[in-house]
Amino acid sequence: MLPLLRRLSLALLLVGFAAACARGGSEPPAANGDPWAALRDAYTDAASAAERADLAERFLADHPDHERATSALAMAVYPLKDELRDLPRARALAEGVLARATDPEDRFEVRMMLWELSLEEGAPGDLREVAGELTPTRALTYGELWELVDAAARAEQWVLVEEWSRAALDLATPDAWRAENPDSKLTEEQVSARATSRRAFALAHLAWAAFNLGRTEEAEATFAEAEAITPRNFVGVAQTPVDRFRGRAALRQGDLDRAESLLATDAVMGGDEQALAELRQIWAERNGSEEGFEAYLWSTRQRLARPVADFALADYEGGTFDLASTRGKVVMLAFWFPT
Amino acid sequence: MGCRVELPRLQPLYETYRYRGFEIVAVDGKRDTERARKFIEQKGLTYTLLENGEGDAEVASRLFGIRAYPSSFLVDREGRVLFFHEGFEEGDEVELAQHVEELL
Repeated sequence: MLPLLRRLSLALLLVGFAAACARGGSEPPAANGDPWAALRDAYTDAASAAERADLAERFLADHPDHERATSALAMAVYPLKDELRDLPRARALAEGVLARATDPEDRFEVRMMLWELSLEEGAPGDLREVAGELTPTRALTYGELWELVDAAARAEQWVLVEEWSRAALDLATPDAWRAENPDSKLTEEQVSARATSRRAFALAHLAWAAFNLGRTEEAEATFAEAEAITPRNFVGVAQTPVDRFRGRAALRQGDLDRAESLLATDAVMGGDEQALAELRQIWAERNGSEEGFEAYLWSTRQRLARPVADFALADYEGGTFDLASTRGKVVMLAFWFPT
Repeated sequence: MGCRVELPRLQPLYETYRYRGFEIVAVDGKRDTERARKFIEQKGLTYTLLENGEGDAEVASRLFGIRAYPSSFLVDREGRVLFFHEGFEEGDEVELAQHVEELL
C-alpha cells in the first residue's frame, strides 16, 4: 500500500474524477458516446491496476489530443509507478503526451509526473525547471505551490522547500483564497478555515526546511506556530505533516521520548508508513530487538482511542438514527458522498 | 478510487459480520439526497445510511474533522474510536475485515 498522504494527494490533485469524490465537486452527467466518460466508468469498475493502466493507455492512443489527455495520463502513470512498478512504460507514455502538449498547465502537470518517475528512479530532476513551465507567464497558484513544496521536501531540496513555502504562506489568507476561487459560495468561516489550513501546511514545511538547513531554534519556533493552528480530526491526526516532521527532528536529535510522542498518532491512527517505521526503530533502539512491538502498538492504540461523539441524523426513510443506539456493537462509521 | 468503490464493497462485509454484532453507519457528507438514494438502491446497500442533517449542515462530518471523502472510523463495543482510515483502495476491505475480527 502507498503512503496515505501520497495516495490522497494524487487523488486530490491529478485524477479528476477521483477528486470529484475526495473534494466534493461533481462531474457533469456523461454525454452519450463521450470517450472520457466511458473511460471514467470503466476505470472505476476495473478489477486491477493492470486493467486500469491498460484502459488509460488505450484512451491516450485513441484520443491523443483529447482535452483530458493529462488526466488520462495520470490514470495510467500512477498504477504503473506505484502498483505495477513499470517505470519505463509510464515514462514513455508521459513523454508521448508531453511532446503534444502546448498548454502550460498541462505541461506542468505532465512534467510533475515525469519528475515523480525520476524521483522513483533515484535521480530526481530539476523542480525549478518544472515550475518554469508556468512562471514566465504568471505566479504559481497555491495548489501548484503545494505540489512543488511536497515534491521538494520528498527530494530533500530544502532551499526550494523554503522558497515555495514562503510563496504559499503569502497565499494563506482569506483574500488570496477568494481571489483564486472567485465563484465560490463558501461562507467567511469556511474560507477562513481554508486559509488557516494553507498557513499550517506552509509553516510546517518552513520549519522542516529550517531544521534541515541547520537553523534549529528557528525551526522549533515555527513548528510551534504551525502546531498551534493545524486542524486535527477526531482521533488527533493532523491535516499537515507537522507531527511527523517534528518527530523526525526529535529522532535526529536523539530525543526518543519526544519523537515517540510526536510520531505515535500519525503512525498508529493515521496509518503513515514512515512514521510507523520510525516508531519501530525507536522501540528496537530501546529494547534491543523488535520483539513486543506489535503488543506495544496495540496498547498505544488503546491509549490514543477516545469515546465516539454521538449524533442523531435522518435516514432516507423519514426516520432518525441515533449513533448511541449502536453501543455494545462494533461500528464502522463511514463518511462518503455519492458521485 | 473513492466512494463509488467503497460503499458497495462494505455490503458483503456487513452481511458476513452483522450477526456477530457489527454495524455499518454511512453518513452522506454531501447531503445530495436524490443522488444518494439512487446510488443506494442501485447498489443494493442494506446497512444504515444517513443524511448529514438538514439545517444543521454537515454536523457529523464537522464533529469528526473530515477533510476528504471517503473517511471512516471503527468503534469498539465500548464506543471507543480505535481505527481511522482515509481514502479507499482495492484490498482495503481485507484490512478492514481483520480489524473488525479483532474487535468482535
